[in-house]
Amino acid sequence: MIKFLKNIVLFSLILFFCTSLINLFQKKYNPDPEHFRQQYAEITNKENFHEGIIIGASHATHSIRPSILDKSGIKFHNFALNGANPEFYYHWYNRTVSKSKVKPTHCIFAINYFMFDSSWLWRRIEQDSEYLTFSVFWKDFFTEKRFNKKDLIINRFPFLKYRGRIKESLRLKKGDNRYLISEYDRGYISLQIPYEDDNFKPILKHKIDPVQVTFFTSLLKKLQSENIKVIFVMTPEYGIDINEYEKMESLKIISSLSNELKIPIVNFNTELKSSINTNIKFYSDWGHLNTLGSKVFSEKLAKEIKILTNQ
Amino acid sequence: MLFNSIDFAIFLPIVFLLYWFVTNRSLKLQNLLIVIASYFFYGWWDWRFLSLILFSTIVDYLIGFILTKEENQTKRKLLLWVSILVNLGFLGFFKYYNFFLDNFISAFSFFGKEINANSLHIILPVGISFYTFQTLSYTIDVYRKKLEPTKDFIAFSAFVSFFPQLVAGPIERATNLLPQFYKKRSFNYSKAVDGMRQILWGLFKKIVIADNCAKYADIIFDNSADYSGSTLVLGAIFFTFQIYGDFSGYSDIAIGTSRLFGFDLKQNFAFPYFSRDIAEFWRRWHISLSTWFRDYLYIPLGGSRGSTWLKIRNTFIIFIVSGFWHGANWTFIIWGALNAIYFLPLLLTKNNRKNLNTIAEGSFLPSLKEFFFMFLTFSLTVFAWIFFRAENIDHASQYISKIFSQSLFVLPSISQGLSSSLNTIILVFVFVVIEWIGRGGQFALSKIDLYLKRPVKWSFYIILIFIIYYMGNFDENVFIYFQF
Repeated sequence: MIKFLKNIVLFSLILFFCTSLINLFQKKYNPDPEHFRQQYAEITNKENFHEGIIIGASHATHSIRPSILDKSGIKFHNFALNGANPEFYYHWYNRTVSKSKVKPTHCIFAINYFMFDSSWLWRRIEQDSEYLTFSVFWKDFFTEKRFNKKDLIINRFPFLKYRGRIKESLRLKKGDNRYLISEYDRGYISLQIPYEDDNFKPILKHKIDPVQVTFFTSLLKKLQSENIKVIFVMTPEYGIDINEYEKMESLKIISSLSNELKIPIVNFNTELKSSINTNIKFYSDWGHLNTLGSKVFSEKLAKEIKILTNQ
Repeated sequence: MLFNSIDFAIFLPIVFLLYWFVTNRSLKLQNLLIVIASYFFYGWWDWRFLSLILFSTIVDYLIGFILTKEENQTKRKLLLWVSILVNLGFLGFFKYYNFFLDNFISAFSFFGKEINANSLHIILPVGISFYTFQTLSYTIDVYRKKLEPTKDFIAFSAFVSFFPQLVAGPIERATNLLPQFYKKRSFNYSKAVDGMRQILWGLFKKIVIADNCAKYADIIFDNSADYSGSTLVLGAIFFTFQIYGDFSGYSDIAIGTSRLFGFDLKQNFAFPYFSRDIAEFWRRWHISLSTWFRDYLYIPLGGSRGSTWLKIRNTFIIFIVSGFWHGANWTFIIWGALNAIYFLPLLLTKNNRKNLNTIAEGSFLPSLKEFFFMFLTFSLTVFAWIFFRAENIDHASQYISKIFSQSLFVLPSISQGLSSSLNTIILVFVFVVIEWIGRGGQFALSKIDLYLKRPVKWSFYIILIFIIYYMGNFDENVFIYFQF
């Protein structure tokens, strides 16, 4: 029996060693864009204090360049993540920023008409457990009841997270070449997709998930209670008629919250509609600006932020 | 609890350690632990049906006990029938009630009489076909005085509910398994290692081969009208490997697990797809069920003795009953009958016991003749599986008529979710090669010790584990034979 158990232990150790090697390999080479890790690393680095944070989904990740926004007089970090919804940010804020002694003074909340649609915006905290610091992960795992423990574990280890994508790891490349890592700028990442007709057909159909509206409202109130000035920014989109925005129920909800909580809206698709909205060379697809577009837009946004913050 | 679940991965080591380190001083305690673990294992699925197992155990234990004292032949026969009626009564109610009711109604409506009767929503208790047959074997053997009845209720309960083979076999004979519960069991290193190896191979068969083949077999069978004849052939082949990987994988895990606890279960599959005729196939496929039917049905009916007519009758009875055992659907009955038709020419020409040895024994490759007969037998088996997998007779006939159309001669259309099936085809090919190499043993890896040194062997196991991990389908698919 002892011989059997010894061999089981020895075999398990060898297996564990091989698994650890594969885990390291898949951490280095996997299909997820590298900027997720960088965004998390920067936001959790206490030496790297930012006066402002940018939150929202991918349309903000690929549009707002913090270094250009410095011209507004405020130093920002872009923490907008692909597919992130208000529920995601509500939990994220409460777990990290809210607990920090020094808090940012400003928050750009990149709004959109689809921001309350959970099938459009699907990101959950658990799926980013790979990027959390050990202490945050540990805390989430043992104390946060609302998180799915199995998902937290699976997403923590690349060996488990990318099980179904081993073929992509075997290409010995990290990430996705649509994201230009050389353009990375304090959370901003450039999205550069070659032109395709289908990418320029906007999808206007969306749903409103009341849970997301509740999280959105709660988060805004929380931010305000902690003296963080919130600014709603709607990044430019291509090919949508201005009248369409007026019909959208989700934008009406945002507008009424803006009135109620006195949050300014900087809307680059209606009031501030400009040549950016009609020039296809600024876009990767109808909802995402490309490298050039993000530069032009960030300059414009910096001016607007400067005006708003100086008021 | 499924063998391919995290729950079982936690359950097994706990029971193993308790068995060998806590209860190892007393045989009674070890048997009691097996009963408790088995009831826990079964109750994890649905605890309500534990009462059925317990009831069946008590009835057969008592009948066996009374049979020893009873010398009056009429009373002995009566006791045997009580056991048969109780066990088959449960099976009949849970498995066949709706089938008979629906067919009864259809038959009457055919003759113009309408009957109002409602089908019941009956949940089929997992494994009922297996443990029912196992307990029946006990009573029949005691009745035939081939086996001394047990006085040890715990040992008998452990025999009925032994968790490795409780829900999907192998259907063990009381003469083989029950005496093992009376003997002191000591840990046997090579048996345990062999058991671990068989569990690993069983998991590979289930998670990699069966569950990947299932994805494509399901797509093709569920949308058979949209596919070409050649793709339907591919679908039938996928199902052929799905059912083999699924069921023989389960048996491997069951046998391997039993070996960890010091028990020897009978081999249930002996590389059936390498058979050279249908008789050989049935000696190698689901051996525990085939031999059960042979000993308790076919031989009492007269077997292959008697007139030609009797031989034909007995062959049809045993195959049709075997088909019906699999499920309450006409498709299973046709599948059984089809196998009887395959088998009869061999029986009538006295060629049914021609291929008793292993194919290509002593050489690596089969001869052309062997290959031809193996291919022919495999093709007949694939054809019969179509009935087994089809939803109903109409579906099966549409499927087959589409196969025998002009579209049989076009390339299989690998689209609509089938694009990644090429990976599965490669895996099945590798699997067949490994099974071929190991065809002389109890399972494909059983003789690996003879030709590989430890570092190579362990490397092979690690690669196999990573193949299971990366190529396996982890949707916790239940084993097909759970429904039987």
